[in-house]
Amino acid sequence: MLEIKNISKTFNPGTINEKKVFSDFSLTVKDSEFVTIIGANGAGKSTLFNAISGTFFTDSGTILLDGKNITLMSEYKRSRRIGRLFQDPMLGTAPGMTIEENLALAAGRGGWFSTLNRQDRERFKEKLSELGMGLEDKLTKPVGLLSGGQRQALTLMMATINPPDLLLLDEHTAALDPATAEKVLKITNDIVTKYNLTCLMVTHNMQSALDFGNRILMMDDGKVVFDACGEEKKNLKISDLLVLFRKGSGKALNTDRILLS
Amino acid sequence: MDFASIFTLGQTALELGLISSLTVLALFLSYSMLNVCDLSTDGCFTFGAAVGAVVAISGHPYLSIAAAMAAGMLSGLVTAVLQTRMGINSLLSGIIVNTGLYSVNIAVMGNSSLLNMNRTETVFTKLKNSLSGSSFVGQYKIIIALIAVAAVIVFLYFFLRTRLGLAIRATGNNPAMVRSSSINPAMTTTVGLIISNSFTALSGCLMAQAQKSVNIDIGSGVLTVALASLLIGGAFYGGTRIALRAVFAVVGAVIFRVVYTLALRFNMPAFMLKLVSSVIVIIAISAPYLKSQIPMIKRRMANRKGGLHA
Repeated sequence: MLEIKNISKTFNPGTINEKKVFSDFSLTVKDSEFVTIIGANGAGKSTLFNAISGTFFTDSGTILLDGKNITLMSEYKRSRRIGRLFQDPMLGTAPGMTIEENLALAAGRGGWFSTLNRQDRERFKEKLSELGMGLEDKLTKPVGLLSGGQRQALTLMMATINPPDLLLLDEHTAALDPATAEKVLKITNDIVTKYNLTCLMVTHNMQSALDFGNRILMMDDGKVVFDACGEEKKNLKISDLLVLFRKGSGKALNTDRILLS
Repeated sequence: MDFASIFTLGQTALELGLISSLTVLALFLSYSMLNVCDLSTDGCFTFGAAVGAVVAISGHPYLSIAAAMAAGMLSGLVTAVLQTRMGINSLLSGIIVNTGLYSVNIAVMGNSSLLNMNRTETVFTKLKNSLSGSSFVGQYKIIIALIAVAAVIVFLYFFLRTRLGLAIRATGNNPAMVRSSSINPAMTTTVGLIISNSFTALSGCLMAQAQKSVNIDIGSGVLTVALASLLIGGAFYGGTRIALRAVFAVVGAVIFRVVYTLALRFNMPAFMLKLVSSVIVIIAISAPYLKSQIPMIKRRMANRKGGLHA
């Protein structure tokens, strides 16, 4: 369970570029909730993920993950329990290293001086074949040779090879072509369902925000303006979302970058 | 020139090439793997030479090797702490350590800038004595250099396959990915620099003992020469296999020495060494970039010839 309690964050305080992103923001995500998040640019979606994963520290407030206070824990330590994917497929993998080497680092079994053995390779192959992208035959190929979709699927595999307490997906299919994006989304859904993961997924595609997950959040200006789960979410349509957004934020949803379908 | 003198020249080039290739292997780890250009290399080379010489002169030929490597590790640790824990830019921390080491080195050598090891027992004299009478006695320097180079390559081969080694390689490749594998890139950078600097110091120690003296300038320009060697080696093997890349780094160092020796034979003055190595580094690093610019330059020229509408 993720509990964010009254966090505030102001960037560049005291300067002309001062930007207050959150003030007194709270959010609770229950175990195995799959939450989709939508909102216009600058709504604070990625900033929220940065706060949760420790890219920066909040000015005040606390963040608890499964009851443990992680507010002041450094980013690399948090990543033991939090998996994260970015929009840019290049960010999650080391391009100059092979698929199996990338997976070995992510899997993190054994001590510092352990090396890859046959069981590891068998396990990696089996996991990769679940992706259905033909990666299981390319264990010794450099990741730099893979397509964006393949890299993103591999990153997803790396983030979940030891099922994390929380999975953060930050528009992880936005840079992919529609067909690949759909495939990666399906894989995502399968993995989240299979391991019963607690997951937050930012998406710019309203339809996928409605199709996936069991809770939906709409964010605007550092606040949650709409929150629905269960049956209520299931019955929502895109037209409802637009109306609800206007009601919650007092303005029309900026649809420049948001896909309505 | 007769055969004997060519042979001697080749042998000297091979000795110097192999000993300096230890610095090239250090850069292989820090520059190629970790993606850190370690500007403390020159100072660390001299540090290893000075510490090794002082310990050898005090009567401990074997301990001198270990002491020099330990000194290198310490120097690497300082460079790493400056850049990972104290917010100092990576290039700047190298320069700072390099400058500081100048004073340290003179202090280590007992307020002197020159130490003579003509009568000192070193690993080289030890081997020379035990080989006396056999037909390999003339090759004692090459044998020691080869053992050191082989040991370092074997170490690198196995080390870079371990989880820690993979983490070091990933740090040079994509630090964000290292962090998301819950590994602290500050730690991997530190370990990498400690190891690479121990090789640099070993290189300096053996160089000083092979030429039976150490002076404060022994390390000056070593970084550029080693970088040139590394890039020459990379021109011969562009693949991804770690062991082969390391072997070709050594080959690059030997080729550099052989070419330099030949140039000296053709009356190039010895002081040109550093200019030549600088030019090699410039060419090797800029060539791929300039090559990528050629199509654009051609288009611009065609455009100029054909007027605005071409």
